[in-house]
Amino acid sequence: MEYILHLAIVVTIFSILAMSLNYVAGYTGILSLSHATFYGIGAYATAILTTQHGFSFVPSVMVGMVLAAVIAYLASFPILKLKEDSLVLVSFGFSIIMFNVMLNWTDLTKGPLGIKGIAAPEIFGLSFFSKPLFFALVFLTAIVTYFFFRRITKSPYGIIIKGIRENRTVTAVNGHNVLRYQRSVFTVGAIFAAIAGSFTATFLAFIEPKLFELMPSVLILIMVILGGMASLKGSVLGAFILILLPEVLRFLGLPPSILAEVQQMIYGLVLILVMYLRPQGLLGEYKI
Amino acid sequence: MQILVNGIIVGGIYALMAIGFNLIFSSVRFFHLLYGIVAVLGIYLTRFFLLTFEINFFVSMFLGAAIAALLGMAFWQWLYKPLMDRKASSLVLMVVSFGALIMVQNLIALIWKNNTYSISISETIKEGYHFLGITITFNQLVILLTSLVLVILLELFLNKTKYGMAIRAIGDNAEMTTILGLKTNQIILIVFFIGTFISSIAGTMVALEIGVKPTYGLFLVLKAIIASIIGGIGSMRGAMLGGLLLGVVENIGIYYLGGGWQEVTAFILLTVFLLFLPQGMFNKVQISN
Repeated sequence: MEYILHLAIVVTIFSILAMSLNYVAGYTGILSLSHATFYGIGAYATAILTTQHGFSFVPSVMVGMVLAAVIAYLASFPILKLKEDSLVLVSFGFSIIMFNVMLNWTDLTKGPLGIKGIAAPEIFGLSFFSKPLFFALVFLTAIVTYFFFRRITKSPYGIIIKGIRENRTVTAVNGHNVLRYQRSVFTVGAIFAAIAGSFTATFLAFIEPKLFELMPSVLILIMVILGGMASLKGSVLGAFILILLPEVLRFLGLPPSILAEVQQMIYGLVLILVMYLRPQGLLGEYKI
Repeated sequence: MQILVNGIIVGGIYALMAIGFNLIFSSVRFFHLLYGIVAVLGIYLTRFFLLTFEINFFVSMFLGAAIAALLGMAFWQWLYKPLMDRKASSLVLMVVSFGALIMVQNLIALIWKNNTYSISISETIKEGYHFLGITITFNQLVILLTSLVLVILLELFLNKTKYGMAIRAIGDNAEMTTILGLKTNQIILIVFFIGTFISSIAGTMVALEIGVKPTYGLFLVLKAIIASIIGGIGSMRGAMLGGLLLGVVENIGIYYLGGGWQEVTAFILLTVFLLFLPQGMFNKVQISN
């Protein structure tokens, strides 16, 4: 039961990440490989503020959100100057830069040693130390995230950002400031990633830069692509499949020494198969 | 001065990587990310030949590169071409390439473990050569000479032979080349062979300096991409200069900021170029708006 709850929490956290990336990549067409960076910013904000500066959980999440928003807004200037392939590369470069900052700014982040002993969240005196309660909290956040993005993407604003994805020239001709829309989308996506990061920090009680490297960014993007671009339910499904697949392997009796490699090979295979067989993903509406 | 020399040596390797990458990019027009990991595979094969059969370093390097190059051709024929025939976008091809990169990288990790291995030409560590206050190790000398020889050979091949001209023609206009009756697919296969061959040799040079690890595949291809974009993608001379510039700037960065910031310097250089000079130093194809 403990184990199932653990998996459920991981799936839910990744659902939040995948949904927020889908908002950026699927709905607006900004195929960003830096989502794990903002996830990391949230995690580090909570970890540093709660262990070293006596903050409680909620204010630390808010600081993380603001920080992620500011950094995402600034990063969006160089990143959004580009399109498609080169955009992917530069967003990737940005995530490498931020990873190196987390790794090398040891005064703040303790570098590769990571930060230990992050306490479980406590909101209004109620501690979420027990797994079921923590799951309820994360689940609630995921539901809020889902309805938030659903509401946005069905609004007039959402129609414009989908227009940007389909044809930015036409959208621009219609008098919409494409870059401003893209920037706001990128920033909002980052804010939700930061929330997921705060949850991860308190859930694992330990974080290190490696958790927010390239591979997690890729994993989140694979979830979005597998689930389907511009489909929030698809993203949840993608998170569900890609988190549970490696666990199935564990049950099949694969030795733990090669588990990590086989797991990543599966991610690669999923990517290739989706591109070959169903470029729009399982529930998606448009092809990348 | 020493920084500059080190920068040029590393830059020479990057230049090689970038030239091979550019050759492939200008004929197929998508980011062939697998490029890096196939080069790493070539290094592991070189090391394998070196250790199991105890043959000469250069012979093993040649064998490793040749096998890697055949694999490069296989990837084009069976992985990319079916998608290309379906008119998939360059983004789809890049995603597929990335998926394959993850697979090959982990396959290598499964076979040869996730450790860093070093490669050396001879058993005894030779002392460096000193002149004019600069130190160059024996390995670095080999790197410098190999890079030079390869670049000259490639220049001759591209400019003086029939196949070389066909390759350049495809780079300029693939459709036109097909209409003129050249066998496009055959030429692209040759391009993949040559490009991968060069990358594998460049990779072995990297391994001489810093060793080899499965995760270096991505690192190598990114350096190739950065150097190509700086130089102006699609231009051989640009790739060469871009590689050299990247090497020098990185080494200056390491000197003033410390080794941990190497990647950061590289990507900041890329961002600066993309923002202010998106067509690179020698533009042929513009990659951003």
